[in-house]
Amino acid sequence: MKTEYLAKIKKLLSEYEISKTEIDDIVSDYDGMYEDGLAKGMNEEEVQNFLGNPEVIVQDLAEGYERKERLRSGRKLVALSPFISIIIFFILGFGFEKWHPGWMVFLMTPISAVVVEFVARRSKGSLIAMTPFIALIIFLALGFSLGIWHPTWLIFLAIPIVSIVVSAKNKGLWETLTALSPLVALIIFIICGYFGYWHPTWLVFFIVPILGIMNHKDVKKRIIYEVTLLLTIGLYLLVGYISGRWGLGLVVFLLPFAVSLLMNDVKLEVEGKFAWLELSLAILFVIIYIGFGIWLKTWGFLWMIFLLIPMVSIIRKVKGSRKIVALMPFLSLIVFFSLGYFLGAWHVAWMAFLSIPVTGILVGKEKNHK
Amino acid sequence: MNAQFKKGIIEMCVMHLVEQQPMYGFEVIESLAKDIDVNENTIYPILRRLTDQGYFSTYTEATNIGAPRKYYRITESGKDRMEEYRKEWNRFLKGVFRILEGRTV
Repeated sequence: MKTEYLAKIKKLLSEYEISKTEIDDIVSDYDGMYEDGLAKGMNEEEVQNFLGNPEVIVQDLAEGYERKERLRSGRKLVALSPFISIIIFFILGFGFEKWHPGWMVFLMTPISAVVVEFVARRSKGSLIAMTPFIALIIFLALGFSLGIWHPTWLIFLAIPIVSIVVSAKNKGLWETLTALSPLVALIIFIICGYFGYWHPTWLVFFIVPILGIMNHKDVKKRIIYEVTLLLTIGLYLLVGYISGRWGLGLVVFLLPFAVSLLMNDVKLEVEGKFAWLELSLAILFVIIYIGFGIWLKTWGFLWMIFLLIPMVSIIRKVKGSRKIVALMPFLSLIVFFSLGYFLGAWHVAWMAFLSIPVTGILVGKEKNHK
Repeated sequence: MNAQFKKGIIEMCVMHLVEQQPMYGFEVIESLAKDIDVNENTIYPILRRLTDQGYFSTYTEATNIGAPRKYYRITESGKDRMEEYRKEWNRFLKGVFRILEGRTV
C-alpha cells in the first residue's frame, strides 16, 4: 500500500513542470513520513489518512507550476513568435516603409514568453512580470515620438513600485509607504534635477526616514523625530539661502543624530530595521554625495551611489541564484543612466533593462531544471 | 475560517515549532494536529515552501527504522520572519480584542 501511495504522488507530480530531482525528493520525504507513521504504531490506512490525500497534496505542492500540456502549447506559440515577428516586420518594412518603429514587433517574443511563463501559471507575479514590458513600450513610444528619453526612463521605476504595491496587502500602510518612498523620492529628484534643481532637491530623500519613523510604535518618539527631521531640513535651507554657505549648513544634520543618541535610540533602530553596515554606508554616502555635490557639482549622477545600499543588503541577505535577479534592476539602472547621462545614448541605453526579465527567466529555468 | 487566513496561521505555528527545536516532517504534523484542527495535507507543502524561501534548512540523521530522517531547522532569516509574524499577530490580536471589548466604539 505504501508503494501505491507513493507511486500515486509521483505520478500526479509528474503531470506538472516539476524537475525529476524535486519529485524524487518529495517522494522520498513522504516515504520517510510514512515510515515514521508506521513506527508510531499506526496501520497503513491511518498513516495515509494522517499524511493526506495525494490529489490534495499535489495540488498544494504544484501551486505555481503549470501542467505540462498547457505549458507545452504556450511554448509552441513562443517558439513561433520570432517567425511571426519577421513576417510582420517585413510586411511593415517592404509594404509600408515602416522599418522603424516596425522593429518593435520583435518585442513580441520576450513578451509572449513572459505571458506564457507567468500569466499562464496564474501566478500572483504576472502583473509584476508584465510591468517591464509595459514600461518599455511607454518609454520607447515617448522616446521615439517626442524624443524625451530622459526623464521618461523613470517609467521603469514602475517595476519595483508595482511589485511593492502588489505585495502591499501583507504589509501595513506606513510600511508600504516607506518601501515606496525611495522610489518616489528618486522620481521627484530626477525630474527636478532635469530642470537643474539637483540641489537642494536631494533633501526629498528625507521622505524615507520621515515615513519610516511612522512605523515606530511609540507616538511620543514619532512626534519628536518628525519634528527634529523637519526642523533640520528647515534650518539647513534657512542657513543655505540666507548665508549661501550650504557646506556650513550641513552641521545642522548633527541634530537628528544628537536626538537619537539622547533618546538612546540609535541602537534600537539599528537592530530593528538596518544592519550597522547599511547604516554606516548610508551615512558615508550622504557625506560623499553632499561633499562632492557642493565641491564638484556632481549632483546629477552621483546619486547612483545610494543604489549601493540596497545592493549591499541584497548581497548579504539574498541567497543563491536569486541574488543576481534581485541585483539586476539596480545594475541595469546604473548601466542605463550612465550610458544616457555621460554619452547621451538614452535611445540605446534602455536595452539594459531587458537584462531584468532575461535574468529572471534564465534563473527561473535553471531552478526548475535542478 | 477563511482558508488563506488559516494557512497563514498554520505557517506561523510551523515556524514557531521548528524555531524551538529542529523537527522532522511527521513530528511537525503530529505536534500541530495535537492542538489544532489542521488539515495534514497542507503541512508538508508549507515545510517545503519555507525551505525554498530560505527560512528553513534541512539535514538528515540516521534512524533505526530505515532511511535517514530529514530534519528542518530554522535559519537566521527564518528567525527574522518569525519575529515579524509575531509582531503582526500580536498587533492583529490586540485589535481584535479591542473590537470585541467594544473599546473602539
